[in-house]
Amino acid sequence: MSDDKKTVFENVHPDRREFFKKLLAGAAFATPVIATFSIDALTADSANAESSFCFPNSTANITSCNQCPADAGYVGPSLFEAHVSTSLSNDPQDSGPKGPHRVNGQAIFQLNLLKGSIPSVLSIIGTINMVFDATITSAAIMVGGRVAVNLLILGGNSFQIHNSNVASFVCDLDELADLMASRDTTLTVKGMYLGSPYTVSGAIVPDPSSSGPTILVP
Amino acid sequence: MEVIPADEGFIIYEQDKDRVHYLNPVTALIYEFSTGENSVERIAELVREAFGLAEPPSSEVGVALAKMKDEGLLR
Repeated sequence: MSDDKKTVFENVHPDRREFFKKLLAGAAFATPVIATFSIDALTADSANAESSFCFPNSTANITSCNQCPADAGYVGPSLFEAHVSTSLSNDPQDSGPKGPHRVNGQAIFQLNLLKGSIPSVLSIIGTINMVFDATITSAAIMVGGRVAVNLLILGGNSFQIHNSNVASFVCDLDELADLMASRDTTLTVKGMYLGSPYTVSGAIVPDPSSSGPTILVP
Repeated sequence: MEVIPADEGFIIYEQDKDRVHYLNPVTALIYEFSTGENSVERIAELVREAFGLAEPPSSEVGVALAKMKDEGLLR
């Protein structure tokens, strides 16, 4: 240990010296990051989560600011779900199919988190499963009525999202994940069912079985 | 407040506000040095030594301290 580092660790509480020696071993200086979350935002039981992150142009009911946070990272649930449906209606303004049918489906979202000095969301993968005979022509994650991500539906109704797919008003996948954790996002799915177009939507919420972040990329 | 050393820094749990703070390694170190006995300049100098920097990161340390104060982590 150099004399400089000795001085450093003398200023650390004795109980945490070994911890800091391991933490700082080979670590490079990075911008200090403080990410604050309400417990509600980390669990599936509250509909009133909050986050200290800012989202520059979001119309969601969250703190706003004028610039993207400096690589704020993400700490929260890694698994989300959404139930989408539309009810039978004869209202001409209703976008759902007319007739004795109801279109519904379910989607899951798995966050792949990149481990590092600042945990961040590397990608989001998932699937959308609609009722039999319903086809999907498009799907999107919405924030405050605006499209945050257009989901490119691959084979088997699966999708994969990267940072480059996220609309600029949400900054990146970390911020999108924060919005998902705070229940400020919805999934909208459009398609055809028995010859009629349908549009269904539902809130994206943390999966109750998701206990916390899952590090998939070492 | 409960300070939990983690693989990538500190996790601080505020029971009364039911909030969790994640501090990356640099911020965890700044928090550790914030004993009330070290000045901002001294903390910046210690961070400089810890990471072998040419100059003390005074600006970054100042911003981090202000943020932690805003969040109620420091008085």
